[in-house]
Amino acid sequence: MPTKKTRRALARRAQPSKRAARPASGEVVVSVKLGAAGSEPVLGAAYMMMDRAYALVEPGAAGALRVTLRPKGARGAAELAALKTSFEDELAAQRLRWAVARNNAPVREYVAENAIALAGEFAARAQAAPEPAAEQLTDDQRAEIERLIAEVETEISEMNREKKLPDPNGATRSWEAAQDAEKGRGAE
Amino acid sequence: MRAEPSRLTSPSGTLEAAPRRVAAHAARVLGGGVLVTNDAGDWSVLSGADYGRYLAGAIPDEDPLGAELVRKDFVRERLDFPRLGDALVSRHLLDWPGPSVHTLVVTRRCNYKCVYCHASVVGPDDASTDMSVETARACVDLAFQSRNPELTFEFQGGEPLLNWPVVKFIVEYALLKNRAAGKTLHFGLISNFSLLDEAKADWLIARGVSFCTSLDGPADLHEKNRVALTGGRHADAVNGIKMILAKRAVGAKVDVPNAICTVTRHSLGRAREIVDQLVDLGLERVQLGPLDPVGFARRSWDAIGYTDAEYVRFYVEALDHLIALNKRGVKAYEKMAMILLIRVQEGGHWRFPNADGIARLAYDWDGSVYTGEDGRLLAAEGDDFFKIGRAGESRLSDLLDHPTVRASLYAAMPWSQPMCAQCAYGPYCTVQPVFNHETQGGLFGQMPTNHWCGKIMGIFDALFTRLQDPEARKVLESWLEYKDR
Repeated sequence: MPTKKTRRALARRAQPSKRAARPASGEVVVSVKLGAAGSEPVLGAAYMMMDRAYALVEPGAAGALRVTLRPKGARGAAELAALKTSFEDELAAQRLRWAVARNNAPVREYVAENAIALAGEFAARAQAAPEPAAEQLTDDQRAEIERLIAEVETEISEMNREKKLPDPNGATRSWEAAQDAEKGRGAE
Repeated sequence: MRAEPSRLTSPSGTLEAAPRRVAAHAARVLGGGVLVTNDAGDWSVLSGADYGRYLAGAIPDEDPLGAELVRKDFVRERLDFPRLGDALVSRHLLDWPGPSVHTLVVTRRCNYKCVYCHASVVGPDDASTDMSVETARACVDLAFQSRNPELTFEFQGGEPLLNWPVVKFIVEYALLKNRAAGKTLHFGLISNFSLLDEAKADWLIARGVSFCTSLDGPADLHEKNRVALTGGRHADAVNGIKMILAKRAVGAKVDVPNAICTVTRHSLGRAREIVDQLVDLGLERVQLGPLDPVGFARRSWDAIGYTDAEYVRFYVEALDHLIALNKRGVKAYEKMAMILLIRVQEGGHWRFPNADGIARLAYDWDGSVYTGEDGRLLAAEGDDFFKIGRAGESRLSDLLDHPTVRASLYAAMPWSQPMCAQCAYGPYCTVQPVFNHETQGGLFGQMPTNHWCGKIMGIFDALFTRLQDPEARKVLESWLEYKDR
């Protein structure tokens, strides 16, 4: 059950913004009537502006959303005008994209449901396949593994004891040692 | 001041779609035309005028373009449902038999100090981060729990040859274990080759291990990026490559070695030289890895980083050079281009580079298991968000069911991203959750400002543009032959 405070906050959020209708300096404000297209194209267009502007979408006048765009770069009159045009172009594109998406949603759902059912059949067949006998090693093979482990552990302990790493190119030498060696070669 | 289009790019003007004719699709302005793609991964490039006609439902089915659009399921009232269902299954829902690639960090020791190294290495004398035999065995046992009929063990570091006994053990143990399991095994050594001698090379080749190194281009460039404790060692990589190629030339059964070029700011403007260096050595695969501000590289980003556009310019120059070389008979390809082209031209989602936890796992020297190598690298920098278990303690089924794996997988799918769901490259692309987490503070990230997205979109643009040119297309499609190598 929401508290009184939460209910008040929710109610406030649903109200048209009381922010000044006129944009603050360096911002663009666009009011968009929702109509049949709904809010998705507006939200989509605002989202697509994120590479160049901060976008705030709020309830506007009845049946409208108010989008405030604050450029991330220069905020001169020309930049703001271009930003507004970009948003309006994107809004037109989003309206088309959402109209196509909505119109085709039932078809895509039908195709996806069939595809999932089909994939389920494949999966059921795969489940029926026998498990690989990964652990079914013979006694000889197990003995070979033990021998292998013992061999590698001996090799590692010898390597550590001798502090000698396989290093045919002298790559583990310090930089200073390498420089000295270079000088030595140069002097020859 | 011009109004810039969004990263998605869209045909301009107020357009409306004819409800009965226009099927679900994503559109992108590409050159002078409009690229359209759909969930099945089919695509077509229309002129701006034709796209307008398509939206208006004014292209008859009998028209050659109309027939193409029908065949590719862009016409809503003519959809082929069984075909669309099959395409979705093969593209997204099949081929998940369990992790195939198992990256093993056998030591964090390294004798190099590369300027962008992600791996948070320790000095070559500090054996405290060497993987033990017991841990190695537990890692291999865990990998063998995968139902995948093919397993690949990749040795990484640090410099893996600094813990040579454990590299040998893992190979021998996996081969032995496989006598019962009967899987197809692959081994790959990722090394700077400074410690690779004839004896080691012969031992590895005899057991089917393939070789990969890092080669950033000509010596001055390579050594600017990759500083060995003994000075830059371009020669190490080149000599190692030559040694393996020489053995191959006299009949040794070993793949052509691979060399990964990591692109830093120093590489910009030198794309052709870099490609030439790799090709002149006899390598077939050119891999131009972008540098990401992830892990240790984040610290040196100001010195070696670049913008998405700079990387894409570099990449396109290299791609065009490779295409030109191919036209002259040189056999070489770029790896990322090949992976993306397989998805575009053949369908399926061949190699999920970031289906972390599902397609690949990474094991640190102490047996900690991560969703992938990138996740492990973050842990080396102190962020163990992508750690999902420990070899010897965890069961594979628990790892696959781990909340981080589930969340990462969900975030990686384009349809769960607001922008990717509308992107024409969505059917072929995958999002990078680790990159997003590190650079944008969340698995899902924000694609309009995401630098991985910026780079991959540029690569897709380059590929789709070149697919319009018959000669370039012929070359690009010939690269699909390298898929099984």
